[in-house]
Amino acid sequence: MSAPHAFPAGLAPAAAPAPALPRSASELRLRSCRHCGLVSETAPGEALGAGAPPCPRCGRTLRERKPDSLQRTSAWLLAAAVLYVPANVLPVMTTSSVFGRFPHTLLGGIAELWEAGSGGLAVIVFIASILVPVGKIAALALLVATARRRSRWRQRERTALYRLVELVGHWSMLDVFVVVVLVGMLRFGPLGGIEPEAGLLAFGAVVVLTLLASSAFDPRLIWPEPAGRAAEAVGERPHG
Amino acid sequence: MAGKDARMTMEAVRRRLRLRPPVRGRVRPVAHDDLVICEHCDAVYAWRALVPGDRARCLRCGSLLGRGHALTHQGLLALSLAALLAFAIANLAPIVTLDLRGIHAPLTLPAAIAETWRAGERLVALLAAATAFAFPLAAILLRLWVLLPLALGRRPAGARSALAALHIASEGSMVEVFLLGVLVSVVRSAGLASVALGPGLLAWAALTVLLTAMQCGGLHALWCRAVPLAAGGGARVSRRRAAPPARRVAVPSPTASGGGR
Repeated sequence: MSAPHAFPAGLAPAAAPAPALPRSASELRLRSCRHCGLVSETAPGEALGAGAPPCPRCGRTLRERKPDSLQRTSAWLLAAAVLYVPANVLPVMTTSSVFGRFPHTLLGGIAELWEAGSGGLAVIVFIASILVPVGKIAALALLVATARRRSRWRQRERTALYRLVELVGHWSMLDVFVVVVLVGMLRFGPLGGIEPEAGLLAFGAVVVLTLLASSAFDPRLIWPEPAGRAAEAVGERPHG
Repeated sequence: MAGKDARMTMEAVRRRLRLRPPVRGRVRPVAHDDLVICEHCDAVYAWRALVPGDRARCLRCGSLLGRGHALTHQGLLALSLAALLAFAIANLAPIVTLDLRGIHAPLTLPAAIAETWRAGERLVALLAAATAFAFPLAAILLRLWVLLPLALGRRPAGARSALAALHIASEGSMVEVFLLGVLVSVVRSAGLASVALGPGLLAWAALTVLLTAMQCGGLHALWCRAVPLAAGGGARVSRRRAAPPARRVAVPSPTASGGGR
């Protein structure tokens, strides 16, 4: 649909000369609202942290950057990495039948699918429950480490990596849903059933923690300002 | 979190009492609804209407700035109503029914969540209930809350809170992941009992398609319609233009797949 605030046809950007690179918002004292996307111009010397002005449209605080982005992302990541160990070591479910009770781990479930001849499905579950969480933790750790050094290495690719992390992030919930569905589906009383186990809780926590980590990371830190302005904005001194 | 909320409340109180902000000489931010900032690298662009099929990408970092959307608000309203219906069927009708020597076990999402809760994994049950039930339902209802009055030519009540909540609900909704989870579970249990697919599965598939279609346009157009800047809505803003934006703002060239939004 056409946005109601588009340029009139005569002023359309088509008539503008081909640009070099766009200017950055903080250079122009502009901020976009995280919640409604409206762009606002702040007064010179406007408070950067606490006491930042409200957005004219939605009234939420207009922050220049996500607050304490690197510290928060690191904290969520560390918690996710720690919980990833019990998520893989502990069983996520127990199947019970007349033949006895068997615990199943995440990797065991993938092996079962593979042996049952559903190779494609095994690959999907492997990607969702092993590759995505590990890849997410590694990718965000790399992004935090390079942003901390205010690195200018491969900025475009690092932004693309962040977009990928945001895109695939919630697919690792797959295994939580699989167990919940199996628990709800296979309930035949004494003949057989499935019980969820503690490993599932740890895995669910890993998924939630990595989602929190990626939403706490501010991708604009990949593009540091030439001056010390951006570092000031996130309340961090460049590490010497 | 708590600190931020407290400050927002103070802000609301100040607005209601028409008090001046506490800091002397502070200027309210001036809205520039003719600009757009790349949320990934902070680059500034001028707005431009996109036709359906257009994609505007940031010149600096390559992120998507916006895309042309074929659906009008009327169309979105129709999709939301259809999604509400699909949601009801998806949660009431059995998704699959397992048959083990004459014992039938129909599966629905609420039953699966309740079973997980009973089995002792309450946090996991809550997580599944939030991402597959509560957030999708909230996303549908909040969209209807905003779209229905707009279709009748009225301003929706509490539009700012509704849209903020809609943003969170859309982010937290994982219907498509749940659908894949059902398919994986069916395959895994196929050897244990005979499986009959039910109407709920079709409803979940329909719900996935409908929610994806509703969400791919983003919330920007809805913000513009439901909370117009000029007409108050709690926001009293002087809408002066500081400088002609075209002069100081780089604009993506029309050859670079689109333009501003």
